[in-house]
Amino acid sequence: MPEPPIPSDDPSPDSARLIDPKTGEPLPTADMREEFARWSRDAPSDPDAERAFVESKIEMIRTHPTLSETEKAAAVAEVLEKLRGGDQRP
Amino acid sequence: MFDWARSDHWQIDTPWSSLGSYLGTASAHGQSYQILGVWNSTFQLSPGQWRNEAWLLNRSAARWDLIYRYDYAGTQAEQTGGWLGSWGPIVETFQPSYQNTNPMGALNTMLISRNSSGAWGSWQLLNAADSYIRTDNKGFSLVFLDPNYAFVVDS
Repeated sequence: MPEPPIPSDDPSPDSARLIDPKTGEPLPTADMREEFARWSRDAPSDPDAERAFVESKIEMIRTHPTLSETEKAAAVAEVLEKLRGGDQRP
Repeated sequence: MFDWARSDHWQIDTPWSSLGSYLGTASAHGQSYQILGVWNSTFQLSPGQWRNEAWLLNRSAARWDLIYRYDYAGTQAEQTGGWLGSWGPIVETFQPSYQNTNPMGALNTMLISRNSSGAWGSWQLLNAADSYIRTDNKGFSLVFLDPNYAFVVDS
């Protein structure tokens, strides 16, 4: 398997470049964001699955094998703070 | 796709039927598996400005396809501290028990980072410091594990 690419240094929002880490040359790429966004718009939403996905993250933190109780509390608070911004689909 | 960096977190829902160009096969431990090449990243564009991206390997066209990008403001502390962003390949469960699922997992999971000067390092397979194993007793059995970068489970 070839080595994965690295990002280009092009900050343009429309840039679709990736670099071969071995050669430093651009790799063949295509910008498929519009197609994937269109498929997403057409896909039926599943609020129950989305809710389960988020709740699973909190459960993963609460049952994390190495985090301390203090770290778990901070991580859960971080997740809840992020989610407070809303969960509306585009 | 779920992006923690924005308030409208849910961004990409792709039907499996649309992924034909991206699917391939790979052999691991004597078995052939259907695979999907995924590349996702968070990196600094400029001081205070960050980019989340996801690309899929298009095997039919022999190229990488950009499927998602989001640029946003963030501090170094926000981006490198805390729990969010510590995600990696996982078989995540959403019900008490599973049975008769197809084999699933991850192969050749690699990580790359860059230093404070902006120079990228080299891709490395995940090591013990990057991953841990959960035993959640949800009905899955380990088919194989190559610590710490590949695993397959079934039920």
